[in-house]
Amino acid sequence: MNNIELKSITKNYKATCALKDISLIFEEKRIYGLLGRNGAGKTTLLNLMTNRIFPTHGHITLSDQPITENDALLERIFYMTERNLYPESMKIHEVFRWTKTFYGNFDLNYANGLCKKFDLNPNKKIKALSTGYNTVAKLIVALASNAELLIFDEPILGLDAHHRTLFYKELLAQYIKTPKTIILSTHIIEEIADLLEWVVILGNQTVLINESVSSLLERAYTVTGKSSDVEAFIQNKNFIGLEYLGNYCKATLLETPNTETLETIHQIGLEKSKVGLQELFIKLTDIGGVLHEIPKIG
Amino acid sequence: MKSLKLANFHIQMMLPSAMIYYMVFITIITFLAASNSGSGQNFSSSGLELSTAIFLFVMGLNAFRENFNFSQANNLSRKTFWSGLLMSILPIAFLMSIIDLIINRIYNIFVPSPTNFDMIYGTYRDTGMFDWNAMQYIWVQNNSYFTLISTVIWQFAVYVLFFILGVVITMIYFRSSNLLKIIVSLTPVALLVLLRNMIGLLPSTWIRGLGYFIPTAFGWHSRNPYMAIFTFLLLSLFLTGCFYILLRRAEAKE
Amino acid sequence: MNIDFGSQIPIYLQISQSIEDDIIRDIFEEETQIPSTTEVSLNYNINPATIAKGFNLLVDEGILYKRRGVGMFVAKDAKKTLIKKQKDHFYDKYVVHLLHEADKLGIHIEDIVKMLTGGPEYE
Repeated sequence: MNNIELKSITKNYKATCALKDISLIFEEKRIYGLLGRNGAGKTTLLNLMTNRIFPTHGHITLSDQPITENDALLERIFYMTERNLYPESMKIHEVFRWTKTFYGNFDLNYANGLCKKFDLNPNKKIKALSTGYNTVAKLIVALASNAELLIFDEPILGLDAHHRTLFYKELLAQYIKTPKTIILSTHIIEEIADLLEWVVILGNQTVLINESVSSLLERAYTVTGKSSDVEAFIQNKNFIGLEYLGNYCKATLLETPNTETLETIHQIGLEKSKVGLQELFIKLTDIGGVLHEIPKIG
Repeated sequence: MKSLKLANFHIQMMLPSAMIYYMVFITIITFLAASNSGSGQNFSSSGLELSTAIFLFVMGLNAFRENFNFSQANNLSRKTFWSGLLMSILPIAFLMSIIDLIINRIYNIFVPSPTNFDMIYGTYRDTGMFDWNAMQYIWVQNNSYFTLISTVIWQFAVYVLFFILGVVITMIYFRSSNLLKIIVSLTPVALLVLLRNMIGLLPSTWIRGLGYFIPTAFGWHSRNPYMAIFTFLLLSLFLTGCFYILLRRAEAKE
Repeated sequence: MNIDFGSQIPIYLQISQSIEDDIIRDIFEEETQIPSTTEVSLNYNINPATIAKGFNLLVDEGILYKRRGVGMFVAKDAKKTLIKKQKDHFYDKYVVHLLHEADKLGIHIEDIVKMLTGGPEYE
């Protein structure tokens, strides 16, 4: 089993706490979305899982063995970082060649094929690449690495719509060819929502949600209607967002509605609809409810 | 195994710099040699290969960041990075030691130029280069197998030490906070000042002991280069240990 | 096959419903092979597990069947079954909704009947 398991992980940076007592299992052969606002600790979590940094408390295992300083385990993971880690003067094809020496299963032909598809010249040096093409280069290395676990931090930074679609397709193709654990950490939620099987949402230094996308979306819904009706309806219910527009009110709830609830909605005359992953994420991570305030104009 | 691959990477990264270094070095000494034979002026030089030690010290200072990043890009452990980086210096230092010896022997045809080794362990130490009474060069370089082999090994040990020293200094800075960086930077100066002023207060047996210990450690009295080589290796091993301790919990900064 | 990502209906249901529609419209004929989960997944960039969930819904209903090592096929009489099923659902899916809307707007049943029987000339 290629499960990554985090057991009561805490990570402190000097006085600030980045992650607090997190326990989490990334199960093998699933596509995960790791979501969280800026500073929620996504990169910290990924860095911990790849031996880049060390937890203050707790430990992390892959296949039930501690990952710390374990080359045999680490080589099963390819981690595409947001930061460029290759020498600036290195050419793309040299990056491929070197990656091949450390990742024995690296597919050079596939990588060169991807260069053509993404319109990336492999003779270019890293430093000559724009933000978008820098991401493309790193994506190609990751996709062709054939590692059993692929971790992407901000995989679509600076990519145009065409390149993003192409990346999703190639990622899925790789996943279908040989199912592997894939973790995507990104802010562009709407686009990847249907790619994901499972979602982990970080917030307040902890895990807010760790659930399959379909079950999460099944239990999330909004009701809209007259504010007094909506307010009455959400009493004793797990609502995560409430928006007013004059007398109109929209509440976002996170609990599976039972038949009784559905009847109530119908009786009061409220409108029920589904919530997308991105909207749900925004509601869940709107700390302090700043989004509910309408900015004053003039 | 992965250490070797990483060492290979680092060697390939260092080669262009080493080539440029030798191009500059050879250009300068060719110019010196040419002017010496052309104008009839007689001058000499000595210990030129010290510049290689300085070059490797600078390479050591710069070796950490790029290689550490690259090792992380390939998800290598710190242990592997540590052994890989250390292994990479061995062939480089050895090769540069041989090249320096060859350059020195060729250069010597045109310009009398003892190596550091010659000056510490060879006859140069007794005779000097020029006999002002007789107005002639009296120093002749020794080319015995023992001298050649010992020179290569001695220089190799020096080069390795300088490189690792560079690496460790970078590591100390890398691990230090801003305040600690200032403290670390001031420490050598403070120590020197303290030592100058305190030296009278120390018991004279200590001073004498130190005055005996240091030349012995470098094989001065016994004219034994292998004593110095042993000392250099011990120092290198000590620094290697420091490097490991500093690296063990090092976290790349964003 | 038509997927609407903004729709209120979960993707896997949209998958099964659009296959049903395509069978009724004779785009996928009985005893012929339909696109694989892989093809659909890569075409729409949707997780293959989601696609499989939609497909399996139809396998459970006997609309599709698997041929080992070959792929998914439309079952014999699938179209007949589907038309019957959709007829059964017609009331729930359309009529209830229609009545609900009419109620909201205060349209009487008689007016609706007139609309339906009068056709385009009603206006």
